Amino acid sequence: MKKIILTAFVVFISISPSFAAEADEKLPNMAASELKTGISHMTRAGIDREAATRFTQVMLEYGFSLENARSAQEIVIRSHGQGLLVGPVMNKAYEGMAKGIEQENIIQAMNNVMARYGFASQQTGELTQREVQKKRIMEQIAECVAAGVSEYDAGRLVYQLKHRTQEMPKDEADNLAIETFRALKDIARLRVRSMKATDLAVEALKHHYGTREMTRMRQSFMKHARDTSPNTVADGYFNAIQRGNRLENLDFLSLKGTGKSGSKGSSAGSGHGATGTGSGGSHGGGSGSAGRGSGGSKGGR
Amino acid sequence: MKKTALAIILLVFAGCGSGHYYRVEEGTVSIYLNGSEANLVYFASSLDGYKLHKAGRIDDDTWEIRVPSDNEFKYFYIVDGVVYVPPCRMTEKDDFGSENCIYVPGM
Repeated sequence: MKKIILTAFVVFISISPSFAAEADEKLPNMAASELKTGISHMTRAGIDREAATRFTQVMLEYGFSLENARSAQEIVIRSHGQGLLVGPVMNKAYEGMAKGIEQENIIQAMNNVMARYGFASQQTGELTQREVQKKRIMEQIAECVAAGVSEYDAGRLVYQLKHRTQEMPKDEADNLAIETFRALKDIARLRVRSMKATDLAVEALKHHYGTREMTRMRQSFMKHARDTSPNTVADGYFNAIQRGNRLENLDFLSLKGTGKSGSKGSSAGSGHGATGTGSGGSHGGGSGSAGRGSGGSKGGR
Repeated sequence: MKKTALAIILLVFAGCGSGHYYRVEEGTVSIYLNGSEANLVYFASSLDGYKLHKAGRIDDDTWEIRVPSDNEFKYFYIVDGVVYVPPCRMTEKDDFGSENCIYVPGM
């Protein structure tokens, strides 16, 4: 039954690329009034009408109750009202529906995303008041948290950045903040523990890394973490920076020989690709979560 | 029943060598997934709001999907109706108790 529902959703998604244009007419009569009001509120809040309509219609097709569809609309409206990015909130709903997650759990996940961006917005306020840069830094911080960085550690890095950028021109300070959190995000995405990844970024700031050095560190880290445990690379980088060594002078062959293990073993990096990068491998088995699993199943309509 | 379905999916993709890898060429990333037992594989990513795209079977054991390689994206598969997140280098929590894979250009 669930497979049928999912298949129906797949068919719906694949055959309906242009449905947003006629969406008002397509909303079921019973739901139309309240949900149209919700769409109007979303539009008045500054959300693109087509996006708001598509969002609402996909939820209905998925089997959202009127109450839950309104809740989802409200979360988007509130996110926008708080100056947060609404794209990630709406995308979480689409992701949940693609995974066949139960609608209540989708609402919960949307709230999680909103909370994450709320925290990121608050932290970003400590660093800049410039709108464009604020959104970019906010996104990086929120993605750091999604990657496994604790709010405490993200706050530590904000504190260090604030201290480090006090005397800097605004552009330079904002760019350093963006690049520092980008580095933290990518390192955390390699499953380096939150405290360790943050310690590394904090240490780099303490040693006066600028935007360019932070970018180089991130790129170099990704390269070295292809064949060495990311946690081991983080240790090596931290020690090198602490001693004032340049990263390019690090002896990674000896680092690999230290036998320090990372949290999930080393990354294999299969090396496929004509011109590209190999990926895959490593890190244990894939997870087969499933809408039917962790998040709870969607259940009947 | 749910556990059985999950176990089958894991078995399908277990022990398949590299299992999951990609190749970047001229603005396109081709993502490959090994799984000879699978009948239907969909790919979903943050590039387009997690619309489901049918992966192509290029040989008995390999499924392929091609997407633009310019931007970072998050992704997962639906294999025979069940969500499947392959072993991948970069991940994030998905707020549903599992993870998503992440593709970052040049990484």
